[in-house]
Amino acid sequence: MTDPQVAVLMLFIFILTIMLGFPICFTLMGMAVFFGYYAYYDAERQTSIFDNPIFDLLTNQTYSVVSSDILTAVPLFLFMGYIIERANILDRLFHSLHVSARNIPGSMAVAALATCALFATATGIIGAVVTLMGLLALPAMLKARYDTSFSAGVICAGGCLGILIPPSIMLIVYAATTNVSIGRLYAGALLPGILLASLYILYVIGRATLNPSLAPKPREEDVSDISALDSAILLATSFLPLAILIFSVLGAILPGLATPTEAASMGVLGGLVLAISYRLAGIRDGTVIPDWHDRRPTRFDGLLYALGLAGAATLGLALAYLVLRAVSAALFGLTPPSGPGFLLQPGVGVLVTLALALAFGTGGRGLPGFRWLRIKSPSLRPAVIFAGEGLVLGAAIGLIYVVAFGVFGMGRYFDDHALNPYGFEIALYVSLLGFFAWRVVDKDRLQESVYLTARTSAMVCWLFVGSWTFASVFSYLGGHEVIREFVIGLELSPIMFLILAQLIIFFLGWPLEWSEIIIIFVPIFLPMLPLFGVDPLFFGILVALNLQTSFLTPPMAMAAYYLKGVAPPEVQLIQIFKGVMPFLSMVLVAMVILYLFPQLALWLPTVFYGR
Amino acid sequence: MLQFIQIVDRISSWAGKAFAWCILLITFVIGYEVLVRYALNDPTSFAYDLSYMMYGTLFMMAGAYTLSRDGHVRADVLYRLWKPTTQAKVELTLYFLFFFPGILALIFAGFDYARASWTYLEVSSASPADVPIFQLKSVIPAAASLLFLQGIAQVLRCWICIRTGAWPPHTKDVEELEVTLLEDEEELLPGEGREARPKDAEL
Repeated sequence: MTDPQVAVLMLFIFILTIMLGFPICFTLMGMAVFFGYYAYYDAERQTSIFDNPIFDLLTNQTYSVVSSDILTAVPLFLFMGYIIERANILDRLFHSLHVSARNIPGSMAVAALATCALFATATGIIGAVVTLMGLLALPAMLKARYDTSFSAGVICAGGCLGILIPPSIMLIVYAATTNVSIGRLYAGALLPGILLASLYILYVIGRATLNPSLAPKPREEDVSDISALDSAILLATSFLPLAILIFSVLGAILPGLATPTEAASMGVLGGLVLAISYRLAGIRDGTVIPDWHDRRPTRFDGLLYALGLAGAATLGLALAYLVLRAVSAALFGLTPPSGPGFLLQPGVGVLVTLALALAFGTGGRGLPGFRWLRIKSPSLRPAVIFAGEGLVLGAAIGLIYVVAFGVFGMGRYFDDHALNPYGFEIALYVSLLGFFAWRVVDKDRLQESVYLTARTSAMVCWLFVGSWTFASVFSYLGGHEVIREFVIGLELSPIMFLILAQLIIFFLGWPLEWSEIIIIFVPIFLPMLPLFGVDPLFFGILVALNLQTSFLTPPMAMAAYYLKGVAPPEVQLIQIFKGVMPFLSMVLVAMVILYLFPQLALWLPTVFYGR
Repeated sequence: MLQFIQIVDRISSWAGKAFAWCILLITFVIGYEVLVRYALNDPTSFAYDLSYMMYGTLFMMAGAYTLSRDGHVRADVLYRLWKPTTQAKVELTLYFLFFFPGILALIFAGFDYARASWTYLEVSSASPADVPIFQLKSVIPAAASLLFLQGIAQVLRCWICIRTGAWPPHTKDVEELEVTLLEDEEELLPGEGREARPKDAEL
């Protein structure tokens, strides 16, 4: 048997073996070791049976996964998703969107679709969106006499949009597999994602208009009379923060302002801010009982309270100044002063904080003009006291730093490390925020998010460890050439090749999930793309669209099973599948549109990055 | 035997969970980098190396923890239709055929790889700060050894399943939201929603 034949055999055995249901990353690793040992075997050069280049290959490929700066963004985006998922935002989001969409036909379905799309985009986790919406929106829709299939289809299809619309984890994984930059992929996926989402919404509105029995108008008694102001507030506290979070992450990545890793970390911090704000709001309303509810007051409470409030105000002023400066530089072309602003100058921030603390008053009596700033809810007062504790702690750390580096000159012991002029301020504010966040955040949920992030990242990245080794052995044996020649022999036109490739991926999506398809099977198609003049970026967007279906088609329609699991008992699996079908055809329509107008995917990347 | 499995599970999940907190460190390190670079115009020389190091350690060390929770992705279209004993027999064979050769290769080759790096205290070429990376290379054999240990526990699980006809239960741990919600739902409606569990769905 020649080497290329062995390679094809290897691929076939692999496809047969994964159907046995063994964890795929270890199947890949084991097969790569066996076939690699055969491929690199050289009886004359090896000194012992363990002396074979495959072992070096295995560790080298493992290390390149371990040190991949593209994949670093994966756990960060996952973490952001888990934090937002657990922030209790979904019911508020659905309610507010429903209220604002109440005059559109099929308003509840439109709201459910938009909620799913937005939430799935922010979290990137499909199962959670579909189950949460199945518990929240589906009963509400059924109660409003919506058609069962129709409602179920909306929720399943909407939840799957999260893997397509950036920032999505699937596109990062595709970027790591194909070496297309994440920024380009995100830019490319944006318009097709919006296209598919609007197709869904148009379909829902159209069906609801043509056939009002599917989505009847709400009865008089079901319409909650909410004033325009209240609904605006609802939107501003649920839809707006999520949208801002998504757009700022994208807005940092797309123009190349920040790397995906940096944007993802900022996304995590934004998600934490969101989670903490919602928790504080819940504590204020009494729906959440804080872990400090039986805290005993101490003598310093008044002082710490004033300090915490003042420190937060100072920090807010400093941040506002930074934002103002950035905006004025961008809009009016003003050249900003080189320093970071006077509130971050050594000592000034502390003085302002102390002055403000005096104004707020320590024992409860402050200057009259500042009293309205005090926090009224008694259950929130300790949170401010924590901020004050953080401020004191930060001042202590900052002082130690200044004394060590400024007075005793400890910088000598570090290479080129002089006293950082902002060191004291950084310590002060970081400690204020950090201590506050640590005391206020829901630690159980944070811990759950951390552990789940580790498990899901391990799942994705170990797949890379196996796959990269497997792919090296496969291409060393000449497997890619065989497949290439076979495809050339078929004499396909580019369109036919694209259709064939997408069909194969569609069928792979029945038994497999997106991670295996992208990491293992996409690399097999990659070397053929130049033959047909297909841009890997364009191919990636098509695959992303296509993989929407892998969650919706039996037998592995995870979205449908999750929904069935939480739906009221009268909802049948077959009804869910029936409801999903129209949305599957919408995916097909979107793919055809993309075939006809490739510029939809290719235009934005050229705008941002040139050719 | 069950006790051994539990001890190994505990070791793996302890290691996985301990290193899972790296994610917070990555966030803070990069957050600090963004602050000093964009606001104070004074970038650090270590943030880049530190971020991929912690990402690498995080996912490598969580490998065994994920295996102990059965979290590594598998194509279980056929698998979930089989009886537990059939599942266990197939899995037992494949552990010896694929898992142990691959992991043993990773342990020994990774050990040599890390030892070579330790001998000259290798540093990263990505920054002028001479950030050491030999400790990151040692993560490879360490994580593989944990996986090897967990692999033995998984083999014993298969063995128990073949003997008794049922998979030994897992200890309680965090689960994905959809799993917890499905379980809650089942407690509420006994008998209902059973067939919808992905594990025993037919169709």
